[in-house]
Amino acid sequence: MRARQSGEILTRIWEDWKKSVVSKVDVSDVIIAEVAGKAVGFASYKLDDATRIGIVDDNAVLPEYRGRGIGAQLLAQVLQLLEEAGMEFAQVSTGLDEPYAPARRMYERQGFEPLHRSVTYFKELAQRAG
Amino acid sequence: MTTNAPGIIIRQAVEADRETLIELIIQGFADVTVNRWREERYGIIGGRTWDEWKADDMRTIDVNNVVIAETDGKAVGFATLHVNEETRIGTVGNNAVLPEYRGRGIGGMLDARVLELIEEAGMKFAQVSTGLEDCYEPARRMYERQGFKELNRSIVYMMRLSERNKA
Repeated sequence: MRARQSGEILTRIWEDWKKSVVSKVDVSDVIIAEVAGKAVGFASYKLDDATRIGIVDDNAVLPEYRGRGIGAQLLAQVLQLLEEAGMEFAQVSTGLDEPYAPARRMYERQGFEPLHRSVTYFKELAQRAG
Repeated sequence: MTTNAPGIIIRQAVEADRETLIELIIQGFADVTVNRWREERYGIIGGRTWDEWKADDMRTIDVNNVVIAETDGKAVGFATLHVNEETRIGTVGNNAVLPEYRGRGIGGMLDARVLELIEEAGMKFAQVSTGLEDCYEPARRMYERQGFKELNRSIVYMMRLSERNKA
C-alpha cells in the first residue's frame, strides 16, 4: 500500500465518490491510498496561511478496505504535509453519532484534542399558497 | 411563537451599521465563541486575537443578509442569514444579543425575522448550527421552540502539529 498525490487516479475516482465535493478540491490537495494499483481511499486538506491552521477535510476508505489502518496512514501523511507546508496547527470536524466513532478514535490516537461540540438543526418551512 | 419584547424594533441592517455590527459580534460572542477558547488553549492564532478573527465575519458580510435589534435607538443584537438557491436551504448564521439585554426574547424576535426572510427568499428549508456546551443551552431551546429538529451532532478537533503522535 502507498499513499501518493495523483491527478490521474483522482480523475477515475470522481466517478465513484461525492462528485460535487471532490471536484471543488484542488488536485494537489488530495492524496490517494492504493492497494495493488487500485485506489481504495483518499484524504483531502486545505491550507490557511493567515491562521496557519491546516484543515483535514473529506476523507474516506472504501468499506471493504476498512479496519486495516489505511485511514490512519492517510491521516498521518496529511498531517506530515500540513507541517511541511508551514502550518502550526491542524483542525478536523467529524460526527458525534455512532458511525463516526472509529474516525474519532483515529483522530484522538494521532493527537487531536476536542475543541468544540455542535448540533445542526433543520426544519421544513411552511409551504406558501400558490 | 415568539413573545415580542416591548420597545424592541427589528430592522434591516445598512452599510452605515458595519462598525456597530463589528462591535456587536465581539461583545455578543465574548462569552460563547470557539475562537476565544481556541486562543485560551493554543495561544494567539496567526498574530491576531480572537476578537479580530471574529470581527472578520462582519467585515465581509453583505448587510442585506443582516437584521438588527434596536431599543431606544441603540443596537443591542443582530442575526444573519444565507440562502442557497440550489438546495433551497436557508441558513441562520451568526446571531447574538448583548449580555445585558438577554433573557427578554430579543434573540427569539431576531430569529423569527430571519426565518421570515428565508421563507420570503423562496427557501424550502431552514438550517442552523449551535454549540452543545452549556453556554449554548438558551440558543438550543430557542431553536427547538421555533420548530427546528436535530439533524446531527459533530465535534471539532484541533492539535498543535509539533505535538502529534506519529503513527
